[in-house]
Amino acid sequence: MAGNKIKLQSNDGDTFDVDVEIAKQSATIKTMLEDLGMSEEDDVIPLPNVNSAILKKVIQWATHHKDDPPPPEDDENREKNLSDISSWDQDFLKVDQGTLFELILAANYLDIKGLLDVTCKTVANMIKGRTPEEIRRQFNIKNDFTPQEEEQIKKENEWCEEK
Amino acid sequence: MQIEERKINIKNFFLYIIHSTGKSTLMSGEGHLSLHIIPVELVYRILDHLDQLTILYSVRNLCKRLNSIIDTYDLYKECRTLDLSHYEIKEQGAQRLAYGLTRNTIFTTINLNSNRIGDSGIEYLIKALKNNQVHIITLTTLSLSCNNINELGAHNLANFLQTNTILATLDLSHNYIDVSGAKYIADALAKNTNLTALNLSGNQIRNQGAQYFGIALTKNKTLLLLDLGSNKIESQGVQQLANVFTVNKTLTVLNLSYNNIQDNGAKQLADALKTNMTLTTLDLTKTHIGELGAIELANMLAKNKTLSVLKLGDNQINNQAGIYLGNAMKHNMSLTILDLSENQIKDEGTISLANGLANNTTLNILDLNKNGIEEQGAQHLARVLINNNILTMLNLAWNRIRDSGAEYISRILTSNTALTSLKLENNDIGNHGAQYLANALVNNRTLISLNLSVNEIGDEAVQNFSITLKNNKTLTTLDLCQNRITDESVQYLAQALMNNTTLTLLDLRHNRIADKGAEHLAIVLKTNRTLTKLNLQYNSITEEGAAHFARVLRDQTTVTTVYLRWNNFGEKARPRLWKLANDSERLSLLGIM
Repeated sequence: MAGNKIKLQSNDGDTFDVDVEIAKQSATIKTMLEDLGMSEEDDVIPLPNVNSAILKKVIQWATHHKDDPPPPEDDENREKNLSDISSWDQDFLKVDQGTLFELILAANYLDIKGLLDVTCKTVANMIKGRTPEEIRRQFNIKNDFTPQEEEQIKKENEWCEEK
Repeated sequence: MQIEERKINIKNFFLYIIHSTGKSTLMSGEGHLSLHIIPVELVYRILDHLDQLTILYSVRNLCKRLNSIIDTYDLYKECRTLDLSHYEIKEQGAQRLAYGLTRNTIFTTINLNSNRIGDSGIEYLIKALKNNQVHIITLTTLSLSCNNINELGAHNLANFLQTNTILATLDLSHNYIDVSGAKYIADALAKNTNLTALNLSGNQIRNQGAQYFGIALTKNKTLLLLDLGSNKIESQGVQQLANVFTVNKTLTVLNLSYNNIQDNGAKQLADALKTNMTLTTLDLTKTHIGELGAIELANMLAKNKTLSVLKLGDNQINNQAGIYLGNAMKHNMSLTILDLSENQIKDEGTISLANGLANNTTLNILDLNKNGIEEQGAQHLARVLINNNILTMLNLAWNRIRDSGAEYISRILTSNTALTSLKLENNDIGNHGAQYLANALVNNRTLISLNLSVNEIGDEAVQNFSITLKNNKTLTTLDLCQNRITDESVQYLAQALMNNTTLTLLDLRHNRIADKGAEHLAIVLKTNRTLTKLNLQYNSITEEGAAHFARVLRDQTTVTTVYLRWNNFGEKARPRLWKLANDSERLSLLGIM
């Protein structure tokens, strides 16, 4: 079986040959292959929500992590440990913010738990220790509270803006 | 053929699902992606990696959508309590917290104990909370213990209390609130109509501050609990508080422990409480009350019909005052807990108390720990308690009742059907006395916990306890720590435990148990499924003896945790033993209990 490839097609029409074992890190693709018998080499799996650039990154990540042990299922006892991102992943995720969120969407859509975890952790790290104003700037979030509401809060919390 | 066809159909269907769900839930390519635009369940996944404090500090009040997502986020929403104790939050942290708490509709309890938010931190918080009058309709408990709060902080909190209509519990213990801070809070309390519990213990409100609270409580009609413990209050300060009891009809719990109120203060309280029908709990632990003050309190007890808990531990109450207290108990019909621990009521006081309890039908707990009581006191207590069906806990620890005292006490156990806990720690009890106690327990069906630690009980009496444990079906805790038990009697104890299905805790620390005893006890654990704690610390067990436990405990079905620290095996044996036990957590070789 080793060496078997499948074709993944991005929403802009490019196809990528990927080792089956690497592609199976996506639970979505794994389900298709195992439960629905899509194992023929000429099968093309269209991924209409992922563009070529992102799909390339996802495949790069999955290739690097192909020998990882399966991530633990148990979500309840997950530790909020933000410092455990491997240095490879840290380098891998030195991307612009748009790409980072695209990767989160792709990881969610393709159901790749490890990638979803590490990308969400990266965003969490960008939040930690920042003031609301810094975060608004960082993520380009528009303050949409009514002017009266905001005026009142501002009056009481001027320090927040200053410091 | 048919199967192939079906597969293709399923495949097409599946692809269709991917296409359609993808289009409806994902927004790839729809402009600039960011935190506030991605689907809600993905924001949740990011929040999963943030603690409550970060969410409040950094994510609250960024924009409406994120606020509504946080409001529906399970880990946040279902947690009505914001517990930020020991977070090292200082002034600036309090500022940010205040910002995060605006528009809050979630928390009913905010715990900020043991931080250093200080007066200016309080100012920010109170501003946020006050502004939220409409929004914070939920906050009922605010804990600010240990936070360097001084006069100014007290002032702001007082302003908050004057207008707030929801808060029920406020904990300001262990701060630096002084006389003037106390005045602010007391004045607010006079107007407040919703606070039911106020803890100001461990501050510096002094006499003057106590007087302010006295004045406030003549007007307040809601406060149920007031804790003014450890505040340097003296008898002059108590006067005004005592006056409250003639007017106030709401306060039920008053804690004045660790103040210097002395006999005079006790007298003022006693006089006022003679006719009070509201106060149920009075804590006067370590308040320097001597004979005269205690006699005044005794006179009060004879008349008062409401007080249920009276704590007088660690004072200078002597045998004379003890006699008065005993006499008062003849008339009292409300007290359920009487704590006289660490006084000197001696045998005379105890005899009087015993007589006082002869017809008593209310007292559940009597604490006579450390009172210089000897055989005679024990004899009279026993005489009365044999037929008492009310008292559930008797503490006679650290007295000198000796063997004959223990013999008297054992008579209680033969016929009493109420006593569940008996403490006879450090009483010079030897084999003889212990044998009486053990024999009395054979048929006892009430006692749950017996503490005989720090006595002189040897193998002889432990054999009697073996017979007890074969028959008794009620005792769950037996403490024989620091006696003279060796392997010789442990084998009988082990035999008894084979069939016992009641005992959950056996404490044999500080005895003379060695490997043979350990082997016997280890065998028990193979079958016993009741004992959860077996403490053998400070004995003479070597690695060989400990290994018996290790081998048994590797079996997953055992339920007992065995504590073996401080025996005769060195640090180096520990990893070997753990390995032998297959890393079972039930083999405890560290200092914890």
